[in-house]
Amino acid sequence: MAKLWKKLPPPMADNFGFIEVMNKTDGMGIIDDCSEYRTSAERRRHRGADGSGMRVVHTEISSEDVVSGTRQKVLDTFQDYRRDFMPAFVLLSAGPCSAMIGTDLEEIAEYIAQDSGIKTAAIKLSGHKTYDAGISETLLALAKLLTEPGNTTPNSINILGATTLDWQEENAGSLRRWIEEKGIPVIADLGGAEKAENIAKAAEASVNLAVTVSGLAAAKYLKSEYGIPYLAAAPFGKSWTENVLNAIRNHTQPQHSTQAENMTPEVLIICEQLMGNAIRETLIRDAGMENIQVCTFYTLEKSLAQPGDRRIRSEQEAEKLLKEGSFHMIIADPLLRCFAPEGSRWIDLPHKAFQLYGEHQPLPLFFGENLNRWLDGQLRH
Amino acid sequence: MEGRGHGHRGGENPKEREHGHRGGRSERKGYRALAEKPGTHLLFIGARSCSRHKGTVKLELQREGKLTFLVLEEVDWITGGYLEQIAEAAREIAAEKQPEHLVLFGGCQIELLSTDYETLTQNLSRELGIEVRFHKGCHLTGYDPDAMQ
Repeated sequence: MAKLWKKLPPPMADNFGFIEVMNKTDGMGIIDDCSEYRTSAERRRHRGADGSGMRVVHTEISSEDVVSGTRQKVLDTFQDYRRDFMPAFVLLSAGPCSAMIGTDLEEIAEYIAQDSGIKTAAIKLSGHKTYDAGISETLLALAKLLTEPGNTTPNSINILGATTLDWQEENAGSLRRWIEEKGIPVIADLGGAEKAENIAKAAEASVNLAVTVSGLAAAKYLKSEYGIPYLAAAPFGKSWTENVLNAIRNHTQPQHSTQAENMTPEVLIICEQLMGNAIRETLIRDAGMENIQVCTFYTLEKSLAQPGDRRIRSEQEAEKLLKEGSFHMIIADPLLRCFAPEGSRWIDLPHKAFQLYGEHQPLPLFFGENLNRWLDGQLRH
Repeated sequence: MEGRGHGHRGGENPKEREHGHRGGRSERKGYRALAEKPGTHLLFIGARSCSRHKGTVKLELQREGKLTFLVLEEVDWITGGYLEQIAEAAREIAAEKQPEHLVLFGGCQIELLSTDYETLTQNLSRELGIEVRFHKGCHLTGYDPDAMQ
């Protein structure tokens, strides 16, 4: 049965993507739901001296609120926490229950904005989609709510969609500096640690770089609203990164290598799509491999996919793919090892979004040649 | 804007609640208590986000082969299709794991829809020939840290 998860944890929900983005900003998020979305570790951090890190609270609705409505709970929660957070902006999101009873969060957002003077919006999440949809919707809401028209800064970029759920702390936290060291000024980092005042200037960038599929919706919005071109690629791997940096300078999408439509895949990569694309390009361009399939449990953007790439929608599908494919090599999260076919080489590619509560292996730096060094090390074993 | 505190569970301040958090939490077994009886399998039913509530113990139980997640979509709740999905899941687990006891528990949606789980579990018990029961205690009606209900 496709909706059963017997061995793998179900892919993380959209609300966690919302939390991931909001916690890196100076805004405040409110989830209208009966339960808090925090791990024990996050709760302990919140009890610490500075309470830093958490920018999202929940309304803790009860069964009575389901009858009387949750509007007042949202307003009360905003008042309870606004002095602590001093938010530059507020985003409201539903949880499964408030989505089911149809709480009008857009009306509440308008009310909060008018009453407090703080920019506020509601986003359409319900706890049913996956985390990447949560990141995507949140980044789109930030772009719509905060950006203002401005003069273009030559050769500058915005980074869209670099979060620790996909890249872990080391990669996500150092991307901005790494790009600026290449002589490319970064206006705003939507998805990374960023202030509302910088997001407001995002329309000044010459080009947008969506580094995960979660950044694409905001990139498309900024293109339609301000005419800013965008490209979608993760700067991982020696040759692929050179292509990405050239594409940033030329404001074009870097071209992927082509594979035969009817090829039989020999290498399988399962991860976020743009990371998978970058690893594939590196294996093709720098390691001379071919016949590589990229699959993901999350959003698969067709325009960035190769023939054979696909979205995995269930544990059942993942098991079938891994056991029945004739892959010589599989690069995927270690949790998927339980379905590894005998005789294939397995390379762990830890994906934090897969293991919200469990321990996860650290992901090393992948920028530029770092990915090649990591792959060389893995292939030598 | 209207005053604060209205409607918060038990009238307590949410910030105080965070610090208190029901005390002695680590000594409680939570969902693990549901699986104590030998031959028991747990089926968690809920939205994707609900699968991560008390996620550590749920994932431990899943690794031990004692828990399966049934992750449902919005359309399943709205159309009532979730009842058949639960039955189908119970049949598959009964066939594969052959438990003596199957405990259903879930997210708030099942309570919100006033599900007649008594009839549901009776029918499943009769069909599958095993004890099937429902554990109440979601976050909407109040999480039951000792899994007593």
